[in-house]
Amino acid sequence: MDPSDSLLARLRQRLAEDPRTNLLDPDLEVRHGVLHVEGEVESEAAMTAVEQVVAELLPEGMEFVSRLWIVSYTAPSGAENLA
Amino acid sequence: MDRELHGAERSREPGVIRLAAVGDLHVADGLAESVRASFEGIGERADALLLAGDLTQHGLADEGRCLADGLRDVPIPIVAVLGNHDYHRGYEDAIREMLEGVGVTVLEGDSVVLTLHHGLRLGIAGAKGFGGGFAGACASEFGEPEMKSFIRHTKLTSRRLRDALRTMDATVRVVLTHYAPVPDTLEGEKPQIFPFLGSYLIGEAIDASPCDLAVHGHAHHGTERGITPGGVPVRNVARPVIGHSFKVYGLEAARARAQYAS
Repeated sequence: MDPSDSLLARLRQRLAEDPRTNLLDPDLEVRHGVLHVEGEVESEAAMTAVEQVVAELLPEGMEFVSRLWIVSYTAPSGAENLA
Repeated sequence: MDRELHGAERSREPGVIRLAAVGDLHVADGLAESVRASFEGIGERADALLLAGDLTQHGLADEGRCLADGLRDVPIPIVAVLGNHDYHRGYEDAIREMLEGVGVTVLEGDSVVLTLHHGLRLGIAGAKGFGGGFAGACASEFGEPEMKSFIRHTKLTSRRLRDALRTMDATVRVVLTHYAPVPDTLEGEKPQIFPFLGSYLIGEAIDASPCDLAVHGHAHHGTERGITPGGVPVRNVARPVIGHSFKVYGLEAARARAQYAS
C-alpha cells in the first residue's frame, strides 16, 4: 500500500464526516508529493470549507492544489423518448 | 395507500407523459434562489417533476426550508424521495414536512398517482432504497448485528417498494429511488463502493411488477442509462451525471398499455 493511500482515506473520511463539508465527491490524488483536490461544489462557502478541512489534515510540509469549481446547471434542450 | 393528485390540463401530445427528473441537488442554506432558477420554465417542458434524493447538503432543517422555498412556485406536481444526506442530522421528518408544506409528495415505501392531461394516470412508487451490492459482490444478513441490520434495512425498503409498485393502479408506472437498482448506472464509480451505492434487491422489486421507468440518483460519477434484468429502463439522474438542472423523459401511455396487456 502506498503511504499516500492512508492519507487519502483519512481525507475522504474527514470530508464526508466534517459538518462543514459532508462531501463525498472531490477527487483526491497525490502526485509528486503534492495533493490535488478536484471537483464541483455548490457555493463559494462550500469551496472554502473543503480547502480548510484539507489544510487541517495535511502533513506538515505537504502542499495542495485546489481545482474546485462552483457548479451552475441549465435546463436541457430536449427530451429522451422512451418508446 | 395510493394518494391521488391532479396535474394541470394543458395542451400536450395525447398519450405522452413528459417527466422531468433530477437528484442530488445538495441544497445548502441560502440557495433558494438558485433552486428557483433551476426549475424556471419547467411547466412548459414537463407534466411532473421527480426528485431523487439528497435534496439537502448537510440534512439540516434550514436547508429543507430553503429547498421548500425554492420549489414553492414550481407549477407542476413534484414527487420526491429523500437520500442519505437528508437523513444525516436526523431532521428527515422536518425536511419531509417542509416539502409537503409546499405541495411536494414525499414517498417512502408508498406510491402516488397523478392524473395528468387527457386523463393519463402516472403512478410513481418510491423509496430511498439502500446499499448492499449486486450479483457477485453483495452483502448478506449474516454475522455481526450491525451487518444484519444493514441488510435488513435494504430488504425492508425493497419489500415496501415492491408492494407499493404492485398495488399501484396507473397507466404509466415509474419507480423513484435514491440508491441504484442496477450496477449499469454506476459505471464510472469505483467498483469497491458499489455496495454502498445500491442493491440488486431494489432491481428485483422493480422487476416484480410492470414498470416503464426506474429513476435514481446518489452515484455522482456514474452513467445515466441502464436496464434491469427484467428490461425496465433505468436512469441515473444525479445532477452531476445528467449535467443539467433536470432531464426530461417522454413516456408513451399507449405503449405502456400494450405492454401490460400482453
